[in-house]
Amino acid sequence: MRELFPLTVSLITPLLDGVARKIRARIQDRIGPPVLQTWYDLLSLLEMESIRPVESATFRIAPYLAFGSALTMLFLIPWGEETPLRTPANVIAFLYFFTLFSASVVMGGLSVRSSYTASGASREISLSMVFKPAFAVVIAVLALKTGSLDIASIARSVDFSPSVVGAYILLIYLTYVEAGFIPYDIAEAETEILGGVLSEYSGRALAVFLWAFQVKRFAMLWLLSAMLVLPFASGIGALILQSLAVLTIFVLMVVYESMNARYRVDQALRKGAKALAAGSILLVLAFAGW
Amino acid sequence: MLSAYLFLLAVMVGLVKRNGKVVSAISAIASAAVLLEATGSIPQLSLQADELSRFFLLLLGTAGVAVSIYSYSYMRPKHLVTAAYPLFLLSMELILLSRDFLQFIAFWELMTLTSYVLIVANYTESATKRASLIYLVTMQALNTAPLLLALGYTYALFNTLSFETLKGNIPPAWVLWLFLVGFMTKAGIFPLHFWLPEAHPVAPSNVSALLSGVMLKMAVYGMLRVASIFPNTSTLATPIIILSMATIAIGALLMLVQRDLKRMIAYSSVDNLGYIFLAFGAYLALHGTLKTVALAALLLHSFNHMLFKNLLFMVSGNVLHATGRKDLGLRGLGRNMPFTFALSIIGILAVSGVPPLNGFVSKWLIYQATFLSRSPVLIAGGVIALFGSAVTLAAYLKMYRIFTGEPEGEVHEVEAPMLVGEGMLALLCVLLGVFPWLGIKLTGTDIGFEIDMPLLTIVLALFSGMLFIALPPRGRRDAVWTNGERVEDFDILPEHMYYPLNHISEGLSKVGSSAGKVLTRVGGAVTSVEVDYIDEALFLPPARLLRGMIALLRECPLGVMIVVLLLIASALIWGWLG
Amino acid sequence: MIEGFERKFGAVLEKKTLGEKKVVYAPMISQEDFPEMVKFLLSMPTVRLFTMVGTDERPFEDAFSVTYWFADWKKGEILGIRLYVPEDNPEYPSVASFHKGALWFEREVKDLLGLRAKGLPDPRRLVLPDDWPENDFPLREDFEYHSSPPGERGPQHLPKMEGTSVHAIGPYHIALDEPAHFRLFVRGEEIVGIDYRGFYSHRGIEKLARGRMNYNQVCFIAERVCGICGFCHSTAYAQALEEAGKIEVPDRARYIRTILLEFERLHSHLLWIGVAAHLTGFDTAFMKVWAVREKVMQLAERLTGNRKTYGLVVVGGVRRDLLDYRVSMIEKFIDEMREKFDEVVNFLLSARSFVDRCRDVGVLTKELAREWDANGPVARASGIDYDVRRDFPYAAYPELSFDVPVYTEGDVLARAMVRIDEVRESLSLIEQAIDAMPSGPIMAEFDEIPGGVEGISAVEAPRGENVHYVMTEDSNVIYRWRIKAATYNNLQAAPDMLRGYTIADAPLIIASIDPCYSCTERVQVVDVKTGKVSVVNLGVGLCP
Repeated sequence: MRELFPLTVSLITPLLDGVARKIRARIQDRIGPPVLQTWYDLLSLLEMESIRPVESATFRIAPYLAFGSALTMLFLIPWGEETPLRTPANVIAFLYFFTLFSASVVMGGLSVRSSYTASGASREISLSMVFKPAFAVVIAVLALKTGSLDIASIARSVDFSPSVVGAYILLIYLTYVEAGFIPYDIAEAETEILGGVLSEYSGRALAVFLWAFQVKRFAMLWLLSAMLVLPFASGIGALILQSLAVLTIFVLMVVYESMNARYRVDQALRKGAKALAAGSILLVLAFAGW
Repeated sequence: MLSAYLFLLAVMVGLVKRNGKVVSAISAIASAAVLLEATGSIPQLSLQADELSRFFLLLLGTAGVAVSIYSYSYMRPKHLVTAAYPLFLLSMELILLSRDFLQFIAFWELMTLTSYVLIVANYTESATKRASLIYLVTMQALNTAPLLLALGYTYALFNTLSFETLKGNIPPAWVLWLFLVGFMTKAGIFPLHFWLPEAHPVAPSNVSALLSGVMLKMAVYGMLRVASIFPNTSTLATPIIILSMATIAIGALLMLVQRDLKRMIAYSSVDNLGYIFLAFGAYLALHGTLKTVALAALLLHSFNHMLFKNLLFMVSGNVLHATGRKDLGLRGLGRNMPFTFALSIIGILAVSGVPPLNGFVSKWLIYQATFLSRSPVLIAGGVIALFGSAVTLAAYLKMYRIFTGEPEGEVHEVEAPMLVGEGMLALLCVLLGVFPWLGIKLTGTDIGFEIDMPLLTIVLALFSGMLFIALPPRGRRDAVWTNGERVEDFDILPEHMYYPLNHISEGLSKVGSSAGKVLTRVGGAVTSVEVDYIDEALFLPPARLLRGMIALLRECPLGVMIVVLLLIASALIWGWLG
Repeated sequence: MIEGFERKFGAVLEKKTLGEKKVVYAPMISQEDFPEMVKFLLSMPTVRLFTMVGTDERPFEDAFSVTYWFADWKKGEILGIRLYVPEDNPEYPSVASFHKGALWFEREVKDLLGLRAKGLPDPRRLVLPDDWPENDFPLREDFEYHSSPPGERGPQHLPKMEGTSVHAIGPYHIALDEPAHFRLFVRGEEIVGIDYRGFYSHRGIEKLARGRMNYNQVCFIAERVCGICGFCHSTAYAQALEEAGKIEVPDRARYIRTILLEFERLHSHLLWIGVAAHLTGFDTAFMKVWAVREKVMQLAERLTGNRKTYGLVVVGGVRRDLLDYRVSMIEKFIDEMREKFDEVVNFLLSARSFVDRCRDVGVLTKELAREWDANGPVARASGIDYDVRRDFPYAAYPELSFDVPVYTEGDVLARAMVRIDEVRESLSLIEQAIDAMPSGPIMAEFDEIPGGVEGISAVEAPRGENVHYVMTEDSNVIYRWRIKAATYNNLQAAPDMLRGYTIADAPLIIASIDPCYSCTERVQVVDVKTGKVSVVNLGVGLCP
């Protein structure tokens, strides 16, 4: 039963993207496409042939591996009371499956020799070199405060001391960044590098990649919602609250996204360094017992 | 002790016949014998060793088998290499079997000397000469000498050098520090790691593999041995943690700017030894379950590092063998070297700690030992470790790149034995990744919980695979879209990736370089040697000293030098014993 | 400028006066002094190289001519120096060897007329396609418009710089609205060198107009030089011809021209602001700005019958009057626009991410702007206080008051701010023009324009000065028509703006000059693949 949650959700994520398009359209005084548009897009892409710019197994497998790892991320997060796949220190596993996702995206991009994919890959990895440690700092603060590396037990045992509140704020920021919203969609920037790592993908492979990105985005949001909801709710109520939280966070993030221009990679990294510095201060606060 | 005799046989064959194939074959069998003896599968042959030695014997045996099979096709009989190779393995086995520090230090010295002979194999190249001299002098001055001093004083204090009888004694802190300095030098821990990225890349790749994969672990073993004997070793915990953090950061950042494949892998060894020493620091600092977790992490990461580092160095050997080049500007090798490509992907993902491969399991343990410790330095160490992990992936993607794209010239896949040797390690990387209990059981520790990797792997494989089977990518072959540019030009050069972070790393080495120049001018002692990296500038005093000695020793015949060093060593021993 | 020049060089020159403050000189003896003369002129702080015209004057002068036109924007004077280049030795001293701004002029003359500048720093092909044969020069009188000579393809690219790789923006790229090829030599993301190849939209308009249509028909093809600032082109052309023919344009026509010129500026600047937002990924601002722009387009349709390409200008005036009730629509529109525009601009500039992307990016120093003869918002953002509307007044501008916004930072943000300020000025200009609009005829009566007379005139288009030069022939046709669009200079400066920034900035920096490739490249539709020149079929006043 609980294993079904991630599967169902992977079918819902394109719908969520459709909602995002609708919201953006409304903000931009447009009518916008129907909510199902992302599904239509995916379906039509799935029908199309995937041009192979290079004979490479990694190029072909990468989208599927990305999808698999994004889905695995969903298996590691609590869904209300249940975690589909219980395992100790799962927040580390979550982070590293995220790394596998990035690795497969980047390896897919780098299996072609093109300036566009190489720039995209280089940007993606540059960002991860700063934002992953920032994520680690958040984990460190929460682990220090709760003595656990399990998402559910961290969420259930947090006290809202200043450092924890700070860590939550940082977590919201990092979720926004890692979910790839503008201004942090730098690695896939259309107008600069034609979609970066995705620029040589087409047809079905592209569809799977896009889908994987949506699932990954959902996984990041779902982690945040679990962290926000589980301290207060339990039982089936927690699951419902989590779903509501994810929707609310998603809508808020989409709205914020449409109010912004894209950063250049160095600007984003500077923000990341600031986040890292803020996290370090939080860590010191946490050590001090606050 | 069958394995020791087999190794000796190989040494003799190497001396007399100088046939690399026979020597490799016998070494492989001998290493297999080490494995058998260590696991005790044949009772008559089992060794008198404790758990700690047994684990490292397993590590040595596994590496020995894989690398020797690889060497069957790779090794070229050059000066004393054929004899030194089995002797090197044998010396390490004997280190692990030593029951007292006297044997230990004797075989340790043998290991250093044989490894020197192996490193200097391509002695016609000036880079090799320079690097191997740095290696030898560093080892004598900063590894052997401190160890001898420490042992001499220990003997003077307790009148014994046997592990058994020394146990529980409490030597003064400075003796422990001497041990630490000695083993840190061997392990390549900051600030004594400068010799490592010099020496490892110049050696033949099978030797580089053994150096990084096994010899560095001897230092880990040494430290663990010291910790198991002297209870007050735990006072060193905090300095070790701080130094290992610096090691991880420096190793990772400098890995990012390397243009030479083997040099990059060597810096990655510095980085990974940082992880191991971080776990060692945690082991010393913590109590209860987490201490066990730290020990498991330490041992398992040592083993895992051996697996993927040997694999990666051997893969770099494949590349060197096939193209004659080892710079990261290579492209398109994957087309003609599909097995090498596949093996290197496993190595890259494993070293980056990506699940479901073995690197992840030990890193997962390290994070638990650090993040859950509630100790400020350890938690900071965990954060640095995660940073190092992200940088490792970034650096190794450059290695991935050399296999992708359109081929630039004709290359051929290497011979089967090389691939078999690598394949064994790759298989173990996957096995230990998917079934973490295998590795944890290997370490002989009981941490009482484990990550459900089999299930996670199934989930991952199932969904990736099902989707791939249900919706396979179909389509035509077409050219890359380059706007009409030549495809070779339409790219980013490896050294320019990761803007603007590459500037930070480059800045680091530039700062090091200019600081080095300024200090050189101030010192005025040695002006002929250039300093290229910050690490070499940061611990300038020892480096300067060494370079000075190198300049002095350059004219000195090798034999004379070894004799002199041995004389000094024995004089020291007799001095303390007397 | 004219006075000083005359004092120094007058003795050796033959002088011809075109109009008030407009003269042409031709060296009587040799071309030796010519570089000295140019250096003397350009050493004055307010003198710029206006345009350069190469003409095949063999039918009546037995030689080609090359005329460099200079403009002193302080005094409002225009001065031309004409060199005659003999057919048997088609060479003349290069200006580009010491003044960068002349580079493309001289390369273009080399391509189209086969006249070589001695000492030209970059003699690569500029205008003609890669497979055009060496010795066919399309602008010569003996070259048939329809002919399409076969040739070998020879690439005109610069070799890659050492230690770099190539990142291409173009020939077709998502961030380019028209074909252009920027080859960026990069170290990762950083741009260290630039190779530009353009003129893919070269349509042979100057040749098309030669002897094939009467001068009023040319008005309509002039408007089709550009899809955005077409009205500026047709106005500039008409003004040049009016000057050549000494035609007095009625007041009401001048006002109508002014109103529409400012309409064009409005929609062009709004378009640019939207594109800039889009290139930085700020699609909400893009949509909102374009929604405002839509109002301009709709009103333009009500006023002229067309959203764009108004087709209103003819020599001597305009074709259609603005009806009074429509004028009242404009008044209402202005009020609405002011409010809406302030709203979207505040929205745009309140996004710090957008401002951060534009600030300190693509800096063009004042010195470089001078060297490249940058103009329009690009020059004004780099501290050069030059606006054709104020400095070489035309249409109704002398009677209207307006500010010329000048910024000194020289970055993309400054260029954006200049344009934003100009939108506000345009609204006020339209308002003033409507208030002050006189009644009367909209078209001048005039006799036939004599052959062999010249006119030169400029219009401040949204992206800078559009300079048109006209030389007439008998029986109401023109002999030589030369168009210089603003982008012609600004685009040459683009490599200097790009160098040192990143590929993420490149589309924005390129866009920040508001490049108009069609304007710049005007002059045969050539299919590079087949080498065929397809003919542009033109009815009177019809869009090709």
